[in-house]
Amino acid sequence: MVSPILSIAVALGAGFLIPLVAQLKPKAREGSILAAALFYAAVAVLIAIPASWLPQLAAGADDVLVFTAGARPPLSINLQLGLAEGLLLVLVNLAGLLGALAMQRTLWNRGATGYVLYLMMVLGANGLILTRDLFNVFVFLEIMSIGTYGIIASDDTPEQYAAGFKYIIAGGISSILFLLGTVYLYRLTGTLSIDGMIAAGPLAGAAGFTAAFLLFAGLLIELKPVPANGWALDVYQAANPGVAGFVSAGNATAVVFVLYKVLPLFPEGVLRGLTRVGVITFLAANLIGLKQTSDRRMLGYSSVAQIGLVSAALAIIQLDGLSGTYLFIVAGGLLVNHLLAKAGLFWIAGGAAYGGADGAGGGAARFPGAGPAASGRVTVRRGIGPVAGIGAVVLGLALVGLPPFPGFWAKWQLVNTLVASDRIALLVLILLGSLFEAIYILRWAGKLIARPEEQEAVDAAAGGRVALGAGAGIGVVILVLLIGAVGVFTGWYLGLNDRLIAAIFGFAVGMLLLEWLPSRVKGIIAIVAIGGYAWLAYPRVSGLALIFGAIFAAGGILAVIASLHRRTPFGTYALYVLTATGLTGLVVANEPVTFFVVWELMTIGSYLLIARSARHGARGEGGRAPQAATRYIAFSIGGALLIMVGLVLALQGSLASAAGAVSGGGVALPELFGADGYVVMPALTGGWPAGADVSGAAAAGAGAAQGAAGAAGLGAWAAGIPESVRVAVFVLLGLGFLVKMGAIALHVWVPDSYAEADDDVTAFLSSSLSKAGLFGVILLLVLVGAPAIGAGAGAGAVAGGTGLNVFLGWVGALTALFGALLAVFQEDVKRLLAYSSLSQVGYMVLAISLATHLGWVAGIYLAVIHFIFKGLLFIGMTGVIHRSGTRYMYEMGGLIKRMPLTFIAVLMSIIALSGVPPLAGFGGKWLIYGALMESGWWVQTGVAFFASTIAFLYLYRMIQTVFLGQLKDNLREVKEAPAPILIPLILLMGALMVSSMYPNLVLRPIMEAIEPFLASTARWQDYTVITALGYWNGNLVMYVTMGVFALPLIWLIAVMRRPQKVRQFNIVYAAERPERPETTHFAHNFFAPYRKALGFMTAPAVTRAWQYVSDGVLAIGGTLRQLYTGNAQTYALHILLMTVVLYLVTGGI
Amino acid sequence: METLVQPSLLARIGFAALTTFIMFNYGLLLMASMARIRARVQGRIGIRLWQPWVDIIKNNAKRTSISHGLMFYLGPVFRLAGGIGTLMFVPVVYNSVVFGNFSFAGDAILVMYFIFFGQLGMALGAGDGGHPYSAIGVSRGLAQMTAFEVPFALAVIALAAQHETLSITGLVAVQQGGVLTWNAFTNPLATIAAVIAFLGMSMHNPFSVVIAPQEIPIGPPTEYQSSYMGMLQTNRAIFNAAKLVLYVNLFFGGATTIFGVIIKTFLLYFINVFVGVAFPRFRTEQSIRFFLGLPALLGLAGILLAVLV
Repeated sequence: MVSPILSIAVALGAGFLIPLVAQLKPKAREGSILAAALFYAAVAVLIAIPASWLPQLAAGADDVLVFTAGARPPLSINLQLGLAEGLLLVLVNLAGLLGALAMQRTLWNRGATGYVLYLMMVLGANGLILTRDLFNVFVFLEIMSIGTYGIIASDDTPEQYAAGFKYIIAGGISSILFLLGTVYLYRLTGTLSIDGMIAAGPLAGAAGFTAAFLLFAGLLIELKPVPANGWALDVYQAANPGVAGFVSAGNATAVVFVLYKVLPLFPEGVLRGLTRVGVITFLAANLIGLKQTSDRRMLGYSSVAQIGLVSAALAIIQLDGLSGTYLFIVAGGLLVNHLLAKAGLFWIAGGAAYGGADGAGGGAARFPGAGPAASGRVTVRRGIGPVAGIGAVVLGLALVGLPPFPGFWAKWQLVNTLVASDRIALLVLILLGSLFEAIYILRWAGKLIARPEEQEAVDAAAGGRVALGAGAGIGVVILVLLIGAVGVFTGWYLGLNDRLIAAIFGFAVGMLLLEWLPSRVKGIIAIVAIGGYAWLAYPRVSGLALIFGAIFAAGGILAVIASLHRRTPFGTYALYVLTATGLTGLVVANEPVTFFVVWELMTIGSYLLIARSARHGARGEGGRAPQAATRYIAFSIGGALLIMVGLVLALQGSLASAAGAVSGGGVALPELFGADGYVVMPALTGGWPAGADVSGAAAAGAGAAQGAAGAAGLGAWAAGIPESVRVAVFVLLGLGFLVKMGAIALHVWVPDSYAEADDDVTAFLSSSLSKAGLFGVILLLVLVGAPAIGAGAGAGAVAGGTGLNVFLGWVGALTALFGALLAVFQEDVKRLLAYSSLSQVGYMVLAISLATHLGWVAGIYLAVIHFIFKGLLFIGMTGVIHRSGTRYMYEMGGLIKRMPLTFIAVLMSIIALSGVPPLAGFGGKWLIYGALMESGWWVQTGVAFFASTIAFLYLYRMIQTVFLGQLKDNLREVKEAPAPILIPLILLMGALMVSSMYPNLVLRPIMEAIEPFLASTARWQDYTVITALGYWNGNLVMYVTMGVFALPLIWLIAVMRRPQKVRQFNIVYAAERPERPETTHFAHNFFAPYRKALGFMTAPAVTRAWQYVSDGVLAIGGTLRQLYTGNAQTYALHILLMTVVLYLVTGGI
Repeated sequence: METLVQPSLLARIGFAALTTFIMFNYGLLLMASMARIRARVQGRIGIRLWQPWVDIIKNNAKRTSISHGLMFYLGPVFRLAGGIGTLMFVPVVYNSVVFGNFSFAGDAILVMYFIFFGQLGMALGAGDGGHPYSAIGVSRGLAQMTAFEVPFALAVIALAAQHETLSITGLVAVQQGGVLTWNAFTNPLATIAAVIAFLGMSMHNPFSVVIAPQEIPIGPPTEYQSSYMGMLQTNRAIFNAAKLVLYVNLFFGGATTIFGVIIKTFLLYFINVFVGVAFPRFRTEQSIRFFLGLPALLGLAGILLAVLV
């Protein structure tokens, strides 16, 4: 181990040597090679030196202090290498090395100048991190600025020179302020050492404030806050991606670290100002980012935003006196997350913009350095290579703070802090900013990874697939691995060590590594993986968790079987495994943070599955998968943020009350780690909170008042939480889960996602994934019950006032109604089924929201049966679409003759869906009406009934126009669906028959699983289930139906003497002759009278409302964007004005 | 339902067959007599009373028949099974072992949904016939059905709210205290809503556009002939009878003897004829709007009445 100061010496030495060796043989290749070798070696040493200290520092050794000139401060400059410095140095220099590799061609072309400038930039960052001397900070800032300024113009384009000029202007102003601040501080404290200044105590008076403020302002400009950051955006956009990556990752990180070092010098007003500036920057930059069409400028906005967030987090940490692990996880997490993610994203953006654009065969090899800086609009190229694709996705997901990456852990903790300290405004702004950032980053990544079909021809003409150059490729791989490792490590360090949760991640990565196998082999492995995961999870779950787990895992397996009929593109099975195991993992998760992590993993998997979907059908309808996926992820992340806040609120509330109300009762609330407020959440297993009875008395009493025999277990977990908090938790979590289910008003993502996803994926989304939200709602009711609003609100499930579950119920009822109505008017069979799913999920929500035993039985029974029949429908339609090549029902017809097995499957499923006895679907209807009426929800019963009759319309329309009526000429040769589709159909049909014959097989386990929470109001008498209002013997109904069906059939067979088979057009046609199948098949606009009567109710009011929201947000972003005129003088003015304003508001007056 | 003496399975099947036979013949008689009444109103002589029997026998005896495919073949089977099945789940005579059928298998909701069984199967069979007029008829019929089911369902919900049971036998039981305990009198609003719904259910004027009987062949049965037609006619008798019995049970006090059933159902059915001859036909969208208007509101008012009183 050598002294850290050698880092600086090595860099400086190399900086002098590189031009020299290059000059040894100025025209020859050897000189250049030598210069390059020296450069890369120097950067490698910069990594190696701090890395060599890391083990020791991590083990708890003291920070390494270096005193120059053998004297202590204030006489000398001192450097410090602690764990934080060491880690950051390694990562920053690594980003530097990889960034140089990514732009190696440009650097090579620039020769020694390029290498030296780049090295100076990196050296500056190193010095900034190491030094503890304020004036020395200034020096390194200047070194870094000069290096950056020079290297920005690496490609010799006018934009780059302009950007560099703006950079130097801004840097100049920053330096002036910083230097003034340093001078004043020296005058006030008599030292230049930062530690000395801090030790000198708080800075008093106006002079002290001004000194601190000048320092702050100088640094702040370097942090690129809105609006004083136009120059930085131009740099990000114009500079070579390698440079932009380092400016964003390295320079910014170094400056943030300087900020961290000098934070103790700032008075409280300045810190509060910093919090606000940071958060506003985060929000505003992300808002404007939404509007960007140039991807590197967009990433620039994201960088600005992220640094704003880190600054705000640092200020909050300083204000609240937090430190230690928290500092590492939040500030360090955000910083490292951004550092690793953003560098890679810039390179990928460069690859997307440069590669292939100037074709001529060399497209694949060309990368950032090669072409001119693309400052114009981005042409997002399809067919990006796997490395770039995975890189864009992983780094993008990490950047927006999704698990398991470090940014997520940081955000989770930060949200915890903000909630605990009641900084609600800041919280809201940060969440909004996060949402915006997620939308534009993932929109971009989603487009990059979209399937290439329709672009293939274009790309081939333009010089082949776009791929990253070798250097950038290696860089992206390393960053992806590193950010994943850091994230997983952080999670593990925080105590999230559940192997089953880790397995979700592991299985998906494993599948990705098997990508080289043939498609079907991968499919079979995926089936084994999902099944294996379920097998591993099985011992951990029972009761409700088992039922839902079975739906999730079985749905995944069946969908994968169905997917074997097609050649799947890269990554499909990894995503299938991620989604299916993630879903299954939901029922295993037994604490909020785990639940949330799994929830996000499952969301990510399903999002990517949709984004990777192909165009449909022979005619290539659709092809809007990327847009649909963006809408899905936008809503999902919005919902997830609500869930996150809701969980945090619930946790903190329960922790607050843990000591008192609940601790005596056996609801274990052990702290997971630290004092940060993590509490174990009871798992949805047989082991429910046994202590429910402790505080459940109120709930039980209230439940009885509602007509239920006692809501024994509901809400016990949150019994000690104040009602207002419970209401907030209920609303937040409820909305979050409803988004996933596509409840009315939150449903606008559903039709497109279901329609555009690959057909087997849609089957999975509808039959399994839509139940995730339902599971969430059940969890919500179990945990916090149904708090009431209005007068007389008590702690019980439904006491006085209006229980929030009533609102939830209405949401469900209206979802059921409008989903059904919308389904009636669809011409696209997948959209029809999508709306049908909406409607069905509405029923489930309605039933679950009753919070009674029978209601839950109804809801969960519906979920199980819906899984079966919607699986049948969607998988059946997968076969039909696969064979017919269209999604439009009026283009089909008469397929019963060609695909009889599929017809039977669809027939059975529509009988079940519509609730016609004797199939199991009737049980669902019977239970839900019984449950609704039992609780006195009469009007809701009427709405539900109306919705269920409307279901007949769309179901009949579907089966009629697809399978019955006239067979079209082009479909005469269509074959029955392929075996991979028939197998799940047959399995599901078997399940449907068995559950119809013996409803008790499904019903009894459900009833038993619910009993721990809600006392049963139904009883069994042999095969008859008896409720307060009615009774039903599914077994007998089946036999009677079979009997009354057999009699006429036998009669007909006996009486009918061989009916003559007639040909297609041999029909009674009023003395006319049918012309062609197309004109004889009654299919298009099937329910025209219905549209005339009720079509007005299907006006897309909700979609329009969301469109207004979206347009409004974009308009604000567009207006804000106009600040950035591209004029250096304007930018300088922004900086000065912001400084003055900040001076005034932070306490200068 | 527990009050019934439980006969053996075989006896039960025998009783069910007897009930079906009686209701079948009664249904045909009802149809014939109503056709005659309607004819007289319109100044015609009308059919002979035994004409429906003749039609059925004739159709079943046809020497030729055609089929468009398996689903087409099964359509009438579904239809008739639906008719008989509906009857099976309704107790025809209160507290009668012979006419109790299999009503212990399920409650009013079962019957309301089993009604769809035959309609759905028939619609599928008609669709397999490939005739666009069949599909148009189904489309109209289903559209109208969703609308008239709303007041009917609301009326049934009102009864459930009033008596806290959905068991048909239970609902009849509470109406045994004299005429004034009939639901028609204890909840007239719900009953009116249900009776209006019944007009739609019976597909007589003004709600007859579904089968449009006077025009060129249109409606689900367009392609059906021979024995198929015979079965459909058989079903019409049984199904009508089953629905009438259901209505009598729900709203008009049920019946303790088979004669009571016949008198009450006859009078109830007469309402159809009465309205049918007096009003012209609605278009489909008009009938949808109609049912979702006043009748639905009456149904809601019926619920309100049941909950408040």
